[in-house]
Amino acid sequence: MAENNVILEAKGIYKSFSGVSVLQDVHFSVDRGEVHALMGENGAGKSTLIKIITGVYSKDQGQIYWEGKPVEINNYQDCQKLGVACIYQELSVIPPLTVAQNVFLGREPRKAGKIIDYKKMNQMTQELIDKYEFPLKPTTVVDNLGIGQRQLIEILKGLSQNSKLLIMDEPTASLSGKEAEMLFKIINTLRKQGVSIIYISHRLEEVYMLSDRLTILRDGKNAALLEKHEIIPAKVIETMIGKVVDESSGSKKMLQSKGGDVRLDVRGLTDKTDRFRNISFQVHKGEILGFGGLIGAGRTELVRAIYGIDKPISGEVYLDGEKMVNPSPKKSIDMGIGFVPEDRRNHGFIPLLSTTKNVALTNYDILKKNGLAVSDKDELDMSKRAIQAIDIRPSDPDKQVGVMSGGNQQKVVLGKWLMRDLRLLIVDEPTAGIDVGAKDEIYSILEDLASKGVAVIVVTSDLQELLRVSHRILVMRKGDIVKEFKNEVVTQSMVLSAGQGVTEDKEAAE
Amino acid sequence: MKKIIATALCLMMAGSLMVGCGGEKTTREDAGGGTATAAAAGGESNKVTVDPYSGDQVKIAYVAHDLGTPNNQGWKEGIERECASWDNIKVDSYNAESSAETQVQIMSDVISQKYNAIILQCSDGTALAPSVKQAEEAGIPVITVNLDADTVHSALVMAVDYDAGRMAAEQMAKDIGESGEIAIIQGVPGLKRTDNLEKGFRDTIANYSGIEIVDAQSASFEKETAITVMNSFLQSHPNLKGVFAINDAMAEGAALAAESAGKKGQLSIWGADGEKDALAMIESGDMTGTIYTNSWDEGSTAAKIALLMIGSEYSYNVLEKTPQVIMEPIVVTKDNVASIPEEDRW
Amino acid sequence: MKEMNQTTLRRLISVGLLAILIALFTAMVGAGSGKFLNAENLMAIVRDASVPGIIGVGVTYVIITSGIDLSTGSMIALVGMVMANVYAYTLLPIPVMILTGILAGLLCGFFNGFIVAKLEIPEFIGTLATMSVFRALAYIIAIKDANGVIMSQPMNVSQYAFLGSTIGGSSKGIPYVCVALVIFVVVGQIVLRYTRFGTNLYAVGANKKAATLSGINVERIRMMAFVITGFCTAVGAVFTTARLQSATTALGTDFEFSPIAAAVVGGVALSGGSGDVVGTLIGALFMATLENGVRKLDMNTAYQYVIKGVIIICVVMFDAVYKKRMDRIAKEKGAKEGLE
Repeated sequence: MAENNVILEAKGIYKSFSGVSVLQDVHFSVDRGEVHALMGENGAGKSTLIKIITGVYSKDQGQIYWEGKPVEINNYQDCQKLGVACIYQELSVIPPLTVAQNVFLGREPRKAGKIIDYKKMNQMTQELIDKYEFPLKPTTVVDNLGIGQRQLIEILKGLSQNSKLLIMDEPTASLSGKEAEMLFKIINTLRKQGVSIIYISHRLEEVYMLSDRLTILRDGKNAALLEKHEIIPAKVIETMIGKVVDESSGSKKMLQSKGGDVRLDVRGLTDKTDRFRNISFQVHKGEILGFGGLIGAGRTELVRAIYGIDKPISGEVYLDGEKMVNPSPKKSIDMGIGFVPEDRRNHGFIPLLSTTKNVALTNYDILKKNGLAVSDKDELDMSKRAIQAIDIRPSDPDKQVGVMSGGNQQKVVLGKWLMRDLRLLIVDEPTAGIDVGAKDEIYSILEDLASKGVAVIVVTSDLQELLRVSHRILVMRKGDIVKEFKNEVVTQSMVLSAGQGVTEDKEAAE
Repeated sequence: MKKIIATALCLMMAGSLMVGCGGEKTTREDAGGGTATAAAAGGESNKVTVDPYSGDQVKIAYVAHDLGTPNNQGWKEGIERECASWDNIKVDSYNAESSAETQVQIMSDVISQKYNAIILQCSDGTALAPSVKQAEEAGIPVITVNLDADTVHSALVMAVDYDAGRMAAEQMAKDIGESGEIAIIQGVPGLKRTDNLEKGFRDTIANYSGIEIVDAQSASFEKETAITVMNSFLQSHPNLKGVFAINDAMAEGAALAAESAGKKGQLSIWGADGEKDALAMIESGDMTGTIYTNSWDEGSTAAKIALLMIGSEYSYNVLEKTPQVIMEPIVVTKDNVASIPEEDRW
Repeated sequence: MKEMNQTTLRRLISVGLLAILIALFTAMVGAGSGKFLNAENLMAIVRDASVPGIIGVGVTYVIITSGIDLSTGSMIALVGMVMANVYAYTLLPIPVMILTGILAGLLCGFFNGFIVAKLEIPEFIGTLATMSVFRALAYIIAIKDANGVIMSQPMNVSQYAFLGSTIGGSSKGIPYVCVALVIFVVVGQIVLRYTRFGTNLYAVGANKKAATLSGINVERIRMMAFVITGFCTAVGAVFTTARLQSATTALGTDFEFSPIAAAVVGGVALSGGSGDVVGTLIGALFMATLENGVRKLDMNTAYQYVIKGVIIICVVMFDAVYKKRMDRIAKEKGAKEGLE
């Protein structure tokens, strides 16, 4: 490519946070009218790189060039001025305003007397809409629009500022299939009009379909820069995970089904908003069932529905052969189901309360009472048992959980379930943000539970973890169970391929 | 620029604050030669005379300051009792809920509904003056009860105020042997009746060189607040010998506070009004005394005057000053409380 | 199929509530006398709604930015007392006195905005504090008699008092305060709908982060909303004191909540980002109608508070349910219909 065709170039970027290196000598460049995908596992440094480009973080070393000239980007306004627009994952449209009002927010054309010229504004919006073929109307109030259309407004807003480069971070994460298709069409139109796009995604098939080039980051370094014809799913996965795939202990496992009778039987569960559909599977006593797949594949939504938080539109759940009618968290707890949510801090425990109170919180029904008041002694005893059973540190039962390390917080959350007679335990991303040592302890707690006959469902996006703890693995993709691994040797790339929708045939063909 | 504006604003405020702290009041000249509402000032009387006692349809509005108080309830009942014997006389009660703004709104409403007379207890005599004037100009006689309006109107029926303060002071002086420390619990500032009560009390106490008023705080007419105020009096003035509260509710609060401090019966606690609860506390020895006025009588007196006005040719614009009807007060102590019969306790 | 948006639907509801109330009172009161539905009484209702309505313009702005201002009642008292001081101790012309009062209101609003937007004290706490402070200042500068007892200051020269009266002075005329109400509502609505500032208010209330990213000075917008509330409140105070022809420290008790209640009933959601000035006007008319009607029905006035309470709970519930439903629909739409 000719040098003058490069719109943005980042050279030799270094960044570290409190001594931990996050980016090392990273190179990244985007051409005019190019869709350049950026991939990498969680923690590979994608979002750090983007935040440096958009001025949210400062870089330690390196230089950014815009259209060949070195530039300093210190805040988001700087990057907007250059012509870079970021389409945020959490939508930043204003629902009570119209499409046009949103697009020109803060830059409304005005008539004399500072009165907004709505006619002109709507016209300008319409021109943009026509130019890029967006399925929108300038006068629609955003309140009435779906998520996909709201996202388009953001893109339109970027374009209205004559942005030459759009950054899209997981744009399809909350979109339905049809909405995503519409977005892809628009991305193609934009490309034809000479707009460049940085496309960050976990979804290989999108990247495969859309992008002209692909940069893969791994552990904060450039792992590969692939041209369109080089983007081969199996190769990409291999690059993302690392060359040492088959030597690493965590990357390969012989699965062995365990367990006795069927404990949980899910039949044809379907979500109201179509985040998962017609899901059927079973979990046995003493079995750890792992759920793999990409973020947004519908796993969290599925386990929430089983636990009774969200109401599915159809389908049934049986626990030990007994049908669960009108499920609710309260009922689930009574029936012996435990749930460790994904968002530990907001849903798993109460940060300001002590270990004792947190453990007691779900167990007040089994704690002794003095009249109406709960026995403090019993409460404390239970907390001490929990601390001992799973080695919560600090072992002070009065310690506020909010100030503990992530690993110990998670142990408190697990601890409160261990105090009950559990039949089924559901854990969603059990070790996110937890250090390695504590991870192992949590795995052994889960294994311990299984050996006592408890059925365990583990939802995790950490492939190593999935292989490490599961006796059997189900992989979900876009709301369907697409693959089951049992009694066989499974590797990380097999799971990832299944989650990405890459078939083995394809893999073989390449 | 913004700073300059802010500074200017600050100076303006500070200026008006300083002005508020002292200086001489000025007299303003009125370009219009009267208030804006003076449509019929000095002119013909708009009064329509009807005779309530011969069967003409008559309606009277009672506009209360706060119907939740025993006093207002007493007047309301008094007015209603007075009119109950005539089918052609209707009484409607309105509650201003202690707000002068609301009372003014009610007054406009009542005037436009052409009531034949209004019995009013002014939440704020100055603020209600325009409304009272407007009513009188529209030919509706206004009879105020206890709380006067700052404009000439048909009549004011009132319990003694200055004299009640004087009587309480004399009684208390006797109780405590004409020497010692005493305190006052005040009501909401700015009300003429309560200010006069306090003034009467203070003026009289000034005659006794041995008595010192060591503290005076407001409890906003509230029993609960009075308990707090009394507690602080008792703490800061351990030798306190007497307390005068501007109304009975606060005197009751003071008595409760004294009792819980172990000083039941040791202090001279006086109130004013003479409501039922206060009389009971005097009987039990918690309170020393009160200046009793019969609210029912007061209400029915107001009603009688209203009916008289409705039936007469007489108009307010011949008056130079509001005629006053003063209710006979009774000094109530433990000795004579039994003489107030149950049916006169409101 | 075109769906009705929140604003339109909510407007229909508040207008409907008002219409139902008027119909109800006409039937209940009017059955005997026709006392309720006549020009004079309707004008009285508009007059009673005027001061809350004028203050409501500013309060609407504040609530649209998802803020709240609890101090307006105390502000009325303070502005009233500032004017009373000018009245009592100087011979400055009446327009200067009014201007001083307005400046005092602007300063109060500026102070509210400062502690809320600059010092980032939560609106509820911040304006709760200034609610006490303004009232206390009113007491401090109150006019006192020789004994130091606070008194109500008469302000009854006709150059001022006419503002509290009607055009032409007759009891059947149009009150000046109603003229002011119309001006405030029209201007307030135009500013809200047709200027950048107005759009920015919505943006700040609906999504502060998005507003910042769009280059909106969020701090300034929030501050302006409070300053405008100060201005509106001062104007409200001018008309209140002119009608009472006096000022006391007790002015504006209860006024903390009536403009807020009017806004909420009129469709200004406390969560911010929705509603408008016209809605608040309808809310203020609703409240005034309710008070007027209850009075005429010879009901215990306490009932009006029950009715107010119930209505407020209902509309707030509606807003919450509606928001939930819209969020769900947004997702479902995406899921089922795709983009077209």
